[in-house]
Amino acid sequence: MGGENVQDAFRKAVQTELDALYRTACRMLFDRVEAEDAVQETLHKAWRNLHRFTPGAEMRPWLFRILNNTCLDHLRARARRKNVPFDAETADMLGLESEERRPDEFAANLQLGRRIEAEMAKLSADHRAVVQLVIVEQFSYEEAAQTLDIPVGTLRSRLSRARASLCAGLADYLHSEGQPEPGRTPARLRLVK
Amino acid sequence: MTTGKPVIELEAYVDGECSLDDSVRIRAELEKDAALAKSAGQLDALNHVLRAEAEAETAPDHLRAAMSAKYGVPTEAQAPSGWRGRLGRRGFLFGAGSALAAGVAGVAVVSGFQGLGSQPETAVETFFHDFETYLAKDKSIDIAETSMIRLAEWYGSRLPFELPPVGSSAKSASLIGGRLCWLLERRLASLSYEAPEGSMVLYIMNGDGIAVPEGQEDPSIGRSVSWHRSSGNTSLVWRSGELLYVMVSQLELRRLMSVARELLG
Repeated sequence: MGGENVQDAFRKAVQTELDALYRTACRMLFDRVEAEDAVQETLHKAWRNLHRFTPGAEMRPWLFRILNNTCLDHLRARARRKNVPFDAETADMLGLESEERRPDEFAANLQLGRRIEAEMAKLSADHRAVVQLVIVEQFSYEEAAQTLDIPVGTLRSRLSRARASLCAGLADYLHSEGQPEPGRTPARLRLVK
Repeated sequence: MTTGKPVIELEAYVDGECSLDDSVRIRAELEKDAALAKSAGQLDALNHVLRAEAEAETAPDHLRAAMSAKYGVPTEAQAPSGWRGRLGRRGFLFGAGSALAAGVAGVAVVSGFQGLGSQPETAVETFFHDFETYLAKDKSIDIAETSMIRLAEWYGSRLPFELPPVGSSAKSASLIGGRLCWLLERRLASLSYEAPEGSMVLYIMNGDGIAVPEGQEDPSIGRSVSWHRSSGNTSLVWRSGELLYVMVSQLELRRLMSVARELLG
């Protein structure tokens, strides 16, 4: 694959992966504007470093790897600005009350989209990235592990912990026979700045 | 199977990351253990809820326009982004079976990749590579299933196209299950078969934008099929309508053609 073909592969990836990159950034950052910035930065870094891309390799994991690192940079910068751990910062961005202070009734009335955001925000950024790549974007374990530069065992462990937390938090949406509870149509992801 | 390693095994099963042997074993356990089946159901439901929720989130038009302009993405050829449903769920209006039944008979004789352009070569190599990886990973599949009807149901909305009719057994080769693959920047179906003399995988995908070597035209159906060899494996490649079919196998060519005719016939 020559330089021109790598550029073509990149353009194709912009077409096919933009939505996935954007929604992953949204889930990592919980801020649409910042997610847009992260996607633009990601594509800019990738374009600038196309010469480092291995010809013949899949463009998708490479882009997601850059995106993940970019999102982590954003979260760290955000935390530095407020001098708080960046995972606490994401919960703050969502305007979430703590588990102790949140009345159960209020939590039950939150629509599914908001509930998912809330439960995702309880996870560390590393765990969110694993959930997003494996469950939402359906990367294989191996592909996700390579993308995040971690061993497969670590990935599986993080995924398992994240799932346990999400299953507990979303239990009332997870029908016992494996289907969402009837009448609870997934709502559009709503982000609160 | 509720704590520690067994949970991770169950999760791997739900994610389609088990080996064939483990899939069969866990499936048998699920049939016997209602509590375990409930756990698996919850994991599957969680996957479903998170995916459905994320599906609605698309990049804003202004971002797409800006990125397309910046990197020279041709707007007239701009494919709908993402993989879920945006390519359109096109019905398979004519029989892939009859296409192959006639098409394989007119198979082109291509020695290796000689004379092929780099892009078609890359496309065919991609499937050889995936097949070799599949073998190396102990033929790990996403779902163990011998019924093509149930397998087609499983693929359902997971594919951006409708799975065409394909047989579940032919000439001693039998369906054992399927995988959902991501290759050549698209989602595709990968059907696994086992025959006494080796393994076989049939990849089916939307063929838009994939350049493949030209085979020999079959005037009766207006399609062509090419065959290729790599590292002792053989592949057949053909198009039918908007779909591209690639069959890769350890079987020798004539045997593979015979199986292909019957599976798709």
